[in-house]
Amino acid sequence: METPYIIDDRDGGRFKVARETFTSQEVFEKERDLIFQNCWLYLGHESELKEASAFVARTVADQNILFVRGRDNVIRALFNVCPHRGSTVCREKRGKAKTFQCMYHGWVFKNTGELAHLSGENAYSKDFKEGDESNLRPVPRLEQYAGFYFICFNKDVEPLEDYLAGSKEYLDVVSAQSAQGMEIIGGTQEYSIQANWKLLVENSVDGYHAESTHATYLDYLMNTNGGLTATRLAGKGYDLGNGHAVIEYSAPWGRPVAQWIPMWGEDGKKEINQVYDELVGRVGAETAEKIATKNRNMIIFPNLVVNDIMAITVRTFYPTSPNSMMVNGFAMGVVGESDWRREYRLSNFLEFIGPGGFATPDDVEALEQCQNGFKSAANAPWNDISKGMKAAVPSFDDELQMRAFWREWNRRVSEFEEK
Amino acid sequence: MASESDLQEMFQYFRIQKLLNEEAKCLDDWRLQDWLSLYTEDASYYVPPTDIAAAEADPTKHLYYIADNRGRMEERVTRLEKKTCHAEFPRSKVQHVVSNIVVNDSLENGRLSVSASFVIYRSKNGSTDMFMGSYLYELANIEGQLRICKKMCSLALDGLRPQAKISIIL
Ligand code: FES
Ligand SMILES: [Fe+2]
Repeated sequence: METPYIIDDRDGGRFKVARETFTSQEVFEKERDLIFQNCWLYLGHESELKEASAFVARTVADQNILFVRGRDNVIRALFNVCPHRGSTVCREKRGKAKTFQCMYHGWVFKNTGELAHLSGENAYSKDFKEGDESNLRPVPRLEQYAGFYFICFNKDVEPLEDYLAGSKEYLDVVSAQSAQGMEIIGGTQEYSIQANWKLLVENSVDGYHAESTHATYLDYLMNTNGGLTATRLAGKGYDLGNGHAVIEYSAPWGRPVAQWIPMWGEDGKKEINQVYDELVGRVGAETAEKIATKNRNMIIFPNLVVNDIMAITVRTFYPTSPNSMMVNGFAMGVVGESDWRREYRLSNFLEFIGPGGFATPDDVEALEQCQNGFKSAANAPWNDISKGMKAAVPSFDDELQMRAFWREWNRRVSEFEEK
Repeated sequence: MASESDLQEMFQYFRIQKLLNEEAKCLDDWRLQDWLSLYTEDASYYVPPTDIAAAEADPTKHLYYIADNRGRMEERVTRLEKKTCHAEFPRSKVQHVVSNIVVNDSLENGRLSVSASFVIYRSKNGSTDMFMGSYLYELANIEGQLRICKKMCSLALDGLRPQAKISIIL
């Protein structure tokens, strides 16, 4: 690229991003080598592997990974690639299995990754099976925080907890919603967007767009809650370090933990009061209030979004080309919660989030229209994300979150140039 | 010669086919209020996830793409009729093709269970998305009219790639 990626003018209060960073093949390749190879990437949640021998086969940054709890109860991340000649080994998305057999020449692996059996064994040298090389390769690093498992393809990466920096506190806030723990609810929203992945990063923590992009959703809330509600969209944005950021704000929608809305009726009120009281008893009034009534949209650099809003969504995505991405969206709920609460949680989720919701389709439209606009990058080269740059206390609808992401992005991608 | 029961069966099939075709036409023409009028007051409309077997999926336990009761179906229509429904403004061109109608056994509550296949094309901004799969309907006779109580759209797709969104009614 001819121009800098970003212009970060703190004195002048101007922050610009070159639109070419969303369209360039060269940038896409740098991201692959410098970001997705070197950063901690979300793989899955511990609740997806409840029992020994449970597995989930997943694609992370274009690589096929087997997330598996072995027969020895150890959770592993293995490359889902046959050490023999490279075929994908497990071709089911999830299930339980003690062994995995490669379809090509039939090598059989224990769910710990170890080669258990190969036909024609006596044609190989004696100690062939003993060596590491014939086992499924583990991903170089796998670590977890609060049940969220991350992998890194670079074995020398800093420990996950250091990497997560200030975002840990907000993962703790999600965990603290229940004494019984949190879980991923079955059913994945899997979709693609014809836009650069960084557009979804920005959008996921964008408090500025709600009133315009999501006008119909806000209308819907008004409509279904009899004119609702005193709660305004208001709050703050925080830079959490290492490219992570969060906005925390109040909002007019109901929250299963624990903000009641009229649409939920008297039964709902009872449920929500109980949830609130339990929270106060367990974590104290102040924290309970924060957990229950505040919403949080968080980006963990580079590609994990944990939005604790009208429901909790865990969303991860990665680029498939400069102008397309794959997205996986999950709903998270409280282990063992009441049927009422689970039903309303899901209902709340669907109202807003995902391909069939009243909001996400409009986000997708916005992202695709931006990508479309970037075709003029050579003639109209800059995005502006200066909003609130000089504010003493950044508001949730300022653009601090995006600047935090972009500064880290720029640092990592530019490092290459200096070497 | 066709027997009396053959004729009855044919007549019923004809009524079902007419209803399903009428629904498809309402949706293609963006006559969404007319679409709603084909549904009962306690109707529901579902699009289950693509990674859970249709027989196991349950909207109170799993994350669907869409799980609307009548109230939310009405709100969905209200939204789709606004200019601020950005995903569908300007509106896309929509074509529903419905076929392979099979009348299953009657249900215990006296309703009819009917399945059918669909292919839906949605075109906008120079690209076309396709949705395909099968419908499972519950139909009831309400004051002499055949009406839809429940519609489930099981996508024969591996995720929504590349469609990204279900911004139209399937
Ligand atoms: S590639 Fe797997 S057994 Fe040959
Ligand atoms: Fe949005």
